[in-house]
Amino acid sequence: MPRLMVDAKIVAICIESYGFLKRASLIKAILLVAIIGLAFFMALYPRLDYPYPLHVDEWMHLGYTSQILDTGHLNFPNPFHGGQWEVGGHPETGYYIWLGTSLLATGSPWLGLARLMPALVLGIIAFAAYAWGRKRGFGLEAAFFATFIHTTIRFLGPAFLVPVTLGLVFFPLCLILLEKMEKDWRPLALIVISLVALFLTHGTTAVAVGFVLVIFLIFYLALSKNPMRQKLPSLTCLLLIPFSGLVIFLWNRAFVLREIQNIINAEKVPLPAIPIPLPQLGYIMIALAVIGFGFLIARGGWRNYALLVPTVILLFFVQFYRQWFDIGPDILYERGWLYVMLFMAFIAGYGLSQLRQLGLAFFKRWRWGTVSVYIALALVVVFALFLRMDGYAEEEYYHVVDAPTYNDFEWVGEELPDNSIALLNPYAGWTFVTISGQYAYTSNSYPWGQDEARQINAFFMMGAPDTEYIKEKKVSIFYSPFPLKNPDLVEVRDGLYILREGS
Amino acid sequence: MDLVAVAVASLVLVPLAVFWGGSPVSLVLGLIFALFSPGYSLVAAVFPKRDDLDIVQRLALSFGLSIAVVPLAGVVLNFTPWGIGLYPVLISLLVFIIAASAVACYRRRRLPAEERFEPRFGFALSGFRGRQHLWDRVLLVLLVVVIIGAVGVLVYVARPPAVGETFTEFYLLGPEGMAANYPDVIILGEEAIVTLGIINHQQETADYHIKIVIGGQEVGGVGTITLADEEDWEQRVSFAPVEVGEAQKVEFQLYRSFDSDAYHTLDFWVDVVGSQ
Repeated sequence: MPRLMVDAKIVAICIESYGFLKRASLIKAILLVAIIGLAFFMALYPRLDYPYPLHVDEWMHLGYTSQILDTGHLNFPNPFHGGQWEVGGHPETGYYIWLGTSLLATGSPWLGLARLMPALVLGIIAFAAYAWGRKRGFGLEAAFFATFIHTTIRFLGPAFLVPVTLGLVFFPLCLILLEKMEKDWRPLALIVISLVALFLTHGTTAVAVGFVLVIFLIFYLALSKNPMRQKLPSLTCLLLIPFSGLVIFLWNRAFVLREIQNIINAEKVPLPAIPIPLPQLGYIMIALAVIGFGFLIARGGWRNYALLVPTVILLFFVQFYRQWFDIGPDILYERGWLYVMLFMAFIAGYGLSQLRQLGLAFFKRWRWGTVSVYIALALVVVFALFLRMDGYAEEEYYHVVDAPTYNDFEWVGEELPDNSIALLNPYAGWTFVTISGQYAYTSNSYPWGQDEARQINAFFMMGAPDTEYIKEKKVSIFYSPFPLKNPDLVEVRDGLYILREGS
Repeated sequence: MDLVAVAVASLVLVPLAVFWGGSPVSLVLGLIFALFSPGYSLVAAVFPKRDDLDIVQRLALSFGLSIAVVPLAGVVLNFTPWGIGLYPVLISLLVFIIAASAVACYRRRRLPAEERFEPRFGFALSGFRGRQHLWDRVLLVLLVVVIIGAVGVLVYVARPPAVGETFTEFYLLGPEGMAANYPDVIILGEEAIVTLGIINHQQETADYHIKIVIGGQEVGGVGTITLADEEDWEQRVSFAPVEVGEAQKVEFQLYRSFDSDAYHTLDFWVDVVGSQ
């Protein structure tokens, strides 16, 4: 009988605990959905009042994607250079296929998808951060701070529809698989598939993910007390990671050799050094990341060291490598801040979760202790978000195209014969190709191609008088800021001229 | 059940994408098809046991692995005779999803029932009405509100904002309403025809008129055209030069009601020859 009473007590406690757990799960679900909603908002905050893609790279990627869908192949005439040469083995091919598949499957116009996708991708990043962090007790915190990743016109970011943002998904994804691999061979295949796809989508991010995985694996193999038999999948993974990079070598050997050459023979690039973007994240997140660093060191263990070390190395790399060593390829430096910010988000999340646990443990005997701790945490979160939004508001973004120009280019796509070649300011070439579906004689992004831009401007200032030269270049559309005085041209819209047929 | 749902949603999408692409349903199903289903079926095939992964990890991996599978499928398609187009992309991914789901079903069936991963998404409304604690009810309502809020945010931010700039499109086409066959030689005394178009983006109703000028002399035009915001106007317009001469500039000047100078001017050059 007494035994039965004890059992009944245990059952009652279990039922109560189940109710509590269910409630806790519900609260977590509410917070997670709210964080994903925040991610949607953060991703499109810079263009809330602007209907078109912001960054020139977004236009370029959309243009290439359209061209692949038009031709049906990954080797295609380069639309940004008048179709004069063929693009083959593009190093970001995987991204174009992914974007193209999304366009085909949804049937959505590219402009609509260009607004929707950054929001969805940041939502996926936040969710993946949650999925990875929750096993270690900081899922919600990591997801929350992952939405803080900053976007600038320099190193890009989640507000832009660019390959590097898509690549950020693979950090938490591979870490989930890697931690699952402690006793299991199956994640190995999925990690290799992910890395191969990532090398075809954004090689720089693939290198960064591979680097982080290698550090995690080294710490696991060196410090974990698991028997060697259980470590075999991880050891195999460590050996396979460099081989997954072979795919990009097979896909475009010239590109890989050129990048290796860039590393060996450093070249100065005209872009100035990137100012540290961390203040834009808000000082609360930075402080929490510093606290997180402290906790990681204090708590120790391979998992904590493995999170700490790549973050420190990446931070050192993006902040000091260019100034000290000045070696390329520059793209690692240009995009590296995004990886740093993602890992700082994880660590800030870890720091906040440790503060929560400490606070709950410290005040557990006080009647209102738990409530007070959660109120304090809520205040921290609200102020962190407030400071983050402040940082976002300070960032300046250029607008590549205005509405009248957009309408001009759209009209060109609708009214003029397909695959016509246009001569226009090379910096407008990216938008022209994507909006009109026609070819641009040449396109470039500032500060490159300034001589070319000057030459084209001079040609327009003279009134584009030489019809033979125009015909030799196979150009039939002109978008000029100056009036053109060539009788063989017809001004069909303000500043937009076409060559008469038969001229 | 989960795999059947994924396969059915993918099967439904194919005709939707082909015949009703761009509709809200095809947008939602298409996003699931490209961003979730390939990864979900792959994860299910690799990890058939309940204890292999929890549901959150499965969902996260589904999104991530879909992003990995789709490019690889495209690269393979590139080397086939079909290339990368609507049908090859949809069918190849559909085949992948169904094949991976079939493997997952097979592997799950080989496991004891209690070990299989079988997600249950049941939501007992009766329980909600019944003896649930008040806090549970409040939290459930809050969850629904937050979900609606998150979707609302997505819809809000994804909708393009109204264009702030005010402007008018003014364009010139040939006599057949195409950007071709613009007059180049006109016989004196005969009329030449072009097509002119106006689209009002002034965010208010506007009055326009058009003057056609050759060598500083007005030779034709169109009287007041009143257009509401976003309304367009396109019409064939004729004009006749008044003197013979080579390379005469024909100007089409658009004025708004309050403009003293032309708001937009388009032009081309003609040779005017005498009638023989």
